Amino acid sequence: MDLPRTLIIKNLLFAACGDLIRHRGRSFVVTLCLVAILFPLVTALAISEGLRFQAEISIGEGADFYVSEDRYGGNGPISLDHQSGLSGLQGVSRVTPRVVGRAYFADRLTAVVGLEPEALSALKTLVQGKVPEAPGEVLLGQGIARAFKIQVGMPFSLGANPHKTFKVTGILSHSCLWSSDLMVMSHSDANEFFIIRGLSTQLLIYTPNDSSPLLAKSLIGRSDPGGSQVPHLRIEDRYHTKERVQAGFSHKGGIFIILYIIVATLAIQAFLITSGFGLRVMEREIGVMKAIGWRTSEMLGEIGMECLLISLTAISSAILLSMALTKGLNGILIAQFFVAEVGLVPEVEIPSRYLPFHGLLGLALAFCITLSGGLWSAWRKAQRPPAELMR
Amino acid sequence: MERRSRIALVLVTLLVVMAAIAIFFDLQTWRGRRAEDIKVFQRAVGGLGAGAIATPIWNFINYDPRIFSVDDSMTWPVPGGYSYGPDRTATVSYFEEIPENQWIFHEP
Repeated sequence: MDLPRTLIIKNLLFAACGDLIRHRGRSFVVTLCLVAILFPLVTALAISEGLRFQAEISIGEGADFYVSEDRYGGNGPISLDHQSGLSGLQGVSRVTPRVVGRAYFADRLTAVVGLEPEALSALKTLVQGKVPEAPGEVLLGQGIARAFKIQVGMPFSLGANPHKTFKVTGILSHSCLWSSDLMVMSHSDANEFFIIRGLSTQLLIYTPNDSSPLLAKSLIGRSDPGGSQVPHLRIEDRYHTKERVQAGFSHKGGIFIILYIIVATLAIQAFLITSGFGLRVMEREIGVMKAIGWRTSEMLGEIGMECLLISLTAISSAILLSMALTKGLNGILIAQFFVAEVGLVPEVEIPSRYLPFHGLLGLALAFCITLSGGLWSAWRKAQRPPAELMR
Repeated sequence: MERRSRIALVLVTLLVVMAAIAIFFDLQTWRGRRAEDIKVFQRAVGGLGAGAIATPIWNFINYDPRIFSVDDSMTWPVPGGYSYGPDRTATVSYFEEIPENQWIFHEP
């Protein structure tokens, strides 16, 4: 008599569970190995996704075009004289200069950003203290402030220009990876600090959405002024930057996943082959099951259920452990493998974003690994007579 | 044995549900105030940062290709770049310089 399908599944599930409990040592070691394999994968995917999320906002909320001058084949500072010319182009709603440089704060490298006063006031909601208003006033990122125990009101100067004295008026609360090791000041202060006049790292062009393609043509027309005395302009637009950033994350993430799966699969196979873990017990059990009337398909179903239960336990544990490490301990020891130059104990907040896809990918990987280890050998054994297996 | 199996099944289900709830809450935190803070910061600074590095160490392209779209570490002092550069190791992002066709052929 054929049993209903749900009852068969339920019976197989209970049988699988019983088997796992009976061989609790084996189940525990296999689950532990899987957690060790899945944990770095889940962590890497979560950090990658967290950073990608932040990068997409950075591109989405940034300017439509970034214009600089071509200097020796690279991006060079642009003269502020271009600002009025670019503002007059059809479809341009705003052009603002921005300085982005780098300087050492004691022994720690920071990004230095010089902004227009309106942009500085826009940071108000993120600042503990107040935004810079007078010359020499700066905001510091939380990473720098924490590392050097900087308080609001503290004056300081830096080695790059010891004559320029700054006063900290506020600390930027953490919002993303790039707001941590950062000094924000007015555009004129930044130019004074780097001892540069009448130039800016870039001119940022904002447009209403529908005029971007038209404006791109006008800008490309202006990028080559035609005369040999005027440097060419280098233009980065939002669309191409987005494409490049997405490719940068996907390419690296994809390579990582492929290499990881190959290494993990080889590792688990080597582990199973070298240990011969539970093979004799398995043989005897299959023999008994065949002797009492189990069909091969039912035996394989039970082994599949065992693998599924182990995989579910392993991936859930790996996700919870990974969350505890990345969110509770800020990726201590592991973050440096995924975010460059953050050290063993990161002082910047490491972003991590867990998606259901990460869980499903980990589950599929764990299920494939456990199945490939158990299903084939179980099927081979099920072809042999029970008496031989039970011997 | 069936009672033990039931307990084990409940434990596995509990673990799966806990992981699912943790993922759900994590997704929620990224949607709310946190995303808004990132937007405020990025809007004010005009878009800053894109790669898996907190400061522009070695080169700017892997910090933000909008600031410096050229990979200058490829050309000096070791052609092909430093194999041990932080942007070439195990970080989760890598932005390449896009080659431009700048060769203009003049007929004799």
